[in-house]
Amino acid sequence: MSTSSKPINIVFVDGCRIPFQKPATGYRHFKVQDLARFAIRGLLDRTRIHPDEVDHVIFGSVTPTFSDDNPARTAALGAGLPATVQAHTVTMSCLSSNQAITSGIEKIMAGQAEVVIAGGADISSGAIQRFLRYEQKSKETTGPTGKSRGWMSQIRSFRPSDLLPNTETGHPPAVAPGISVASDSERADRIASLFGVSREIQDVYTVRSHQSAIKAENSPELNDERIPVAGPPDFTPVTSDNGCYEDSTPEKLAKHKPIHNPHHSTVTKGNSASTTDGASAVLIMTRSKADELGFAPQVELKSYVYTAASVTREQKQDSTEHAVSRDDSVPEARPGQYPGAALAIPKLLDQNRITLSDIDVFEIHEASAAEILGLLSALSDDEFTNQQLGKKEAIGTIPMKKLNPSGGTLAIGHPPSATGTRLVTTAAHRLSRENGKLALIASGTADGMGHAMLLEKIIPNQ
Amino acid sequence: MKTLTLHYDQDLAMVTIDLQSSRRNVINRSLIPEFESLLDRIEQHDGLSAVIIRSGKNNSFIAGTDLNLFSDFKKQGDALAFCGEINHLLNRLSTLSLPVIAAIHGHTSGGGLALALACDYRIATSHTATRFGFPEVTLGLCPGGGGTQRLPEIVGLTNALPLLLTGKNMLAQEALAIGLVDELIHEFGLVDAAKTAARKLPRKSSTRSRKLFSRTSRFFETNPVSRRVVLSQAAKAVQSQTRGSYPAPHVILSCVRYGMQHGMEKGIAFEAQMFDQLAMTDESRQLISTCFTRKSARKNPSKARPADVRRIGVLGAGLMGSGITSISIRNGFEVTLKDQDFPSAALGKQKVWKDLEPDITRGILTEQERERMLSGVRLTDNYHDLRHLPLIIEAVFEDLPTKHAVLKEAESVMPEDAVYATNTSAIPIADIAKAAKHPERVIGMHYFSPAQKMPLLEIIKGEKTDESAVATACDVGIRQGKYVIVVGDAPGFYVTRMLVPMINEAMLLIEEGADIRIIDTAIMNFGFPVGPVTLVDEAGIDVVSHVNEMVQPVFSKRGIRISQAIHRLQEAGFAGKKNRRGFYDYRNRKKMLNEEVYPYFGGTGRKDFSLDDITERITLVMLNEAVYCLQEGILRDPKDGDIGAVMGMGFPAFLGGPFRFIDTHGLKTIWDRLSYRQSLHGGRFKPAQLLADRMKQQKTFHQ
Repeated sequence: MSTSSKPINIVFVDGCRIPFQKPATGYRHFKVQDLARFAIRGLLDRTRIHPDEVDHVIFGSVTPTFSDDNPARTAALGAGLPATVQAHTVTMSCLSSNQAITSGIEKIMAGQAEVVIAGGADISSGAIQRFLRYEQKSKETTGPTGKSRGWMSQIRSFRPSDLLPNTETGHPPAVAPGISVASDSERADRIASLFGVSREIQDVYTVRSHQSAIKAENSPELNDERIPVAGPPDFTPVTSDNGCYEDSTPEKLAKHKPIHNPHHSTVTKGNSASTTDGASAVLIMTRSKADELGFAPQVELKSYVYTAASVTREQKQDSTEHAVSRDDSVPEARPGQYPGAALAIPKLLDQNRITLSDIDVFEIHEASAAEILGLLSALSDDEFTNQQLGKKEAIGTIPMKKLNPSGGTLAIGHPPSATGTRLVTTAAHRLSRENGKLALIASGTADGMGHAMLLEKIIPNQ
Repeated sequence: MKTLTLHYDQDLAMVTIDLQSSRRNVINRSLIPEFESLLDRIEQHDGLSAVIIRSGKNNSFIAGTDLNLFSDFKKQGDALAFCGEINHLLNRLSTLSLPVIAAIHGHTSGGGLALALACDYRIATSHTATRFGFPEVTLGLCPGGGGTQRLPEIVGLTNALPLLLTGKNMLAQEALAIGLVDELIHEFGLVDAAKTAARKLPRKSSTRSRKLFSRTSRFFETNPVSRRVVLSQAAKAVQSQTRGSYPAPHVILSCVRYGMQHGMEKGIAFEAQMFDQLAMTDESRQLISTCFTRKSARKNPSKARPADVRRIGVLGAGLMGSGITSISIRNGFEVTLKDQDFPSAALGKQKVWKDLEPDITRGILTEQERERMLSGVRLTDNYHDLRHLPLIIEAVFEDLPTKHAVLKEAESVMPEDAVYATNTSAIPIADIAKAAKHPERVIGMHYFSPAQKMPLLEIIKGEKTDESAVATACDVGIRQGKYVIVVGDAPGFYVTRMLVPMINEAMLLIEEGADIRIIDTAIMNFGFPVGPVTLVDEAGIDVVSHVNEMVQPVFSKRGIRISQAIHRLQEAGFAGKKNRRGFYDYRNRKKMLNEEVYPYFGGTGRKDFSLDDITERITLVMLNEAVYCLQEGILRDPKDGDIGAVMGMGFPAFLGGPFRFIDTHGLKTIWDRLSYRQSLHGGRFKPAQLLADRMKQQKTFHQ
């Protein structure tokens, strides 16, 4: 594994996202290509870059598509980019759009492109929910507030034809829908137990995320990077995220039943992020190209790392040895039972020879309250750093006021492939607004991978 | 110069049509003898099994006949001789001992389609550029090369009549569906497919059967009773549309009927005679000359340099704003569409999306192409997003304070050299520009509703408008596919100014006791697509009342009073078709006269008026107004006046336009009639001074 990386010298010009919507609400008529198209077009409109200048489009997606082998290409053409612009689709579960950005960086560094649009789009109503018309309909009967219209009306609206396949080609979906709360919850629960994150603190953190998001909702900053959408057939405007709750309180969250083990677990639907529909995109290019095109970029993509570890429990060959040799005071090392970012952040800091205190802006993915709180604990935990990283001291603490101040994934929602670009965009915009020097974004996947990226503010006349 | 090349590919004779020094293939005088001698060569060549005819152009097989050829027909018999030549050639082609295959890509119309029909087999590309049509009817003619005979033979009567009578184009898929072409293939495989087809076709013999149409339709098509029914239905439809004022469709029907009764050979001879007669009619001459003058409205009249416009800002996403957006994105522009709030802008975009639906259905556009076009429409609710744009077209409500407010806001973000076009039907540009910091960049772009359909764009140069703004507006209009005329700045400009006295005269007639329906009938008989009263209902009584008020000063100056009846109706809550209460009652399916309006016009008791009386009064005020417009410099030349009237207000195209009409009937006649009417009805019929001046100089308007 390489531990050093070449200087990148690639700048973030601008980024944007479309509002994130709960499944089968605002985007129920769209396909994943449509959402990607809206994000790309929004970016072109914001930056006013001449479409001919774009060399390559990379989009992340975990949404299986039945009739489109390369949604990135479809979206790029639909957005009005010239047919000569290449495009490809990448997938890496929750890191898909991070991978899109870093693949873009690598393309630029390899001299294959100068200007890249990277992003990600997902629509969870696009996969299994579309399979049966009944599924789709029952989703639609659930209002945007999440309240069901009642089983009577669902039964009344049932038609035998609802059981017919609803896909364009009639094939059954090849892949299960993206990372859902249910499949992720056990892992989050383990993290909570491992780091002693209580149900109460998870709920409190969740409320903070919702309240921060609500506070940011009408801020000019958010409306600047979030572009409204109106598309066929009804052109109903989608202008804001519908995942966060203004009235979220710890008391209300306490009513949720734990998902994994109803009696002992702490992770609930309320304190973990829900999969939503959405898309986001960023425009990156070499610094010299940005100068040539007359952009005044403020943020440079300085460095990034990926990590991967096992998420399965270590299978010990000799269980008796396990029983006798283990010292009870030392927690059992369970690689991969940590948030992915817990391995990625230290690696990134090491590579850049900096510490957490050098960072001014943190934007970290909140798959669940347990996951992010577990991450914070891990970084400040001597034992963790000792066992997992072979370091003497803990990495440090992340000050809460620097972390996700305008809400995180818990409130805004989580289109698995659009969160990464959202984090980068928000971090970059915060960095240029807040007079900071360095920003860090980090994220992990349920299958043991982690990612962190360092952004640096460009000092003028440098 | 040689248009045709012949080469042999083993047993196949390949004929390539490629008209030098022209972008498109058309039939001209030299083509016919050249083709004849080429057929001689083919006949003398031994060992051939088929002939393939194709085009060397990438946009047309043969896109009709050279229009100059039509205008060369000076006397009776000229056209007949030409038809004789072309029919001789086509007969030879269709009776050639070898099978002839037309390999078609691109426009195939008029004489070109007649040629394709004379071939034994037609294979065409599925490309959207491949279109078939007989546009002769739109020129006041009938197809001249046996089209009225061979088309019904090949596709059947019911399929043939719409093509022959409307002049509309048909796409490749549609042509395949009715059997006009035998096969479709993509453009790259056309020649090879034609060769394969040629080798499969049997040598020509009487036993070669055509796969015509389905068994049921064959029964109808070959049965003399049902044929007669179809023809008489068509005749009725034609009569109700043309009202006897436009002979071509009737003649086309009679050609078809004659051919069915007397056989192909006699039918073709009859068709040639009819063609000759039609070519000498005033209607056809006017239509052909209109074709030439119209072309001038597709060239930028301004010598200044237009700005490089890629993206247009459109203010207001209503009917007009979305219409302008629609034609813009169709023609390669991008649009930033602004309305007061985002949902209103989104509704405008939805209209644009719906506008493209028919093209999707017909297969002209794919869903992805539509998405791509629509991506070019950026929605916004703030002026900030309009900064940087070189052209803003404002299409907000026709109200001066509103227009002022919008102009000020837009100017606050516009770059120094950007052009601001206001879309108004009557408010003078100078009045609107009063609110501007830079009045030199304010110009009028008057689109007609619905902007997607109406071909005219009136560009109004205000007193202070800069010439470069004119150049930019014209350039954009032409690129949007419009015919453009530049007119002077006075209330109503040209087209609205023409409509006001016309509608006013209709109102005065109703006040005098004329029946509403009679007025509409009279004007439709004259050749307008709708009568003036129906027009008021369609446009909206409130709108017309508002326009009357704005244009009133022009007429007050000449001492003419505009009828207040429309104003009274508007106050009483009549709005026309939009609230289903107008001069007609639209509450039921059938459009009925609305008796409720008569009390506003002196009671329900109606008097008899002759149709001629009504027609004369209404057309005379309008013709006179056209001359006033020229006299006052609103129009730069009579040609613009004709184009504007035909394309903007539905003046019958076969009459050429108001100035051509006056020229045709004689300035003296018009002056006499106006003077006579002036003595009866007063000052509004006072002939324009310019009319008298021209008369004295013994000049016509068109030289």
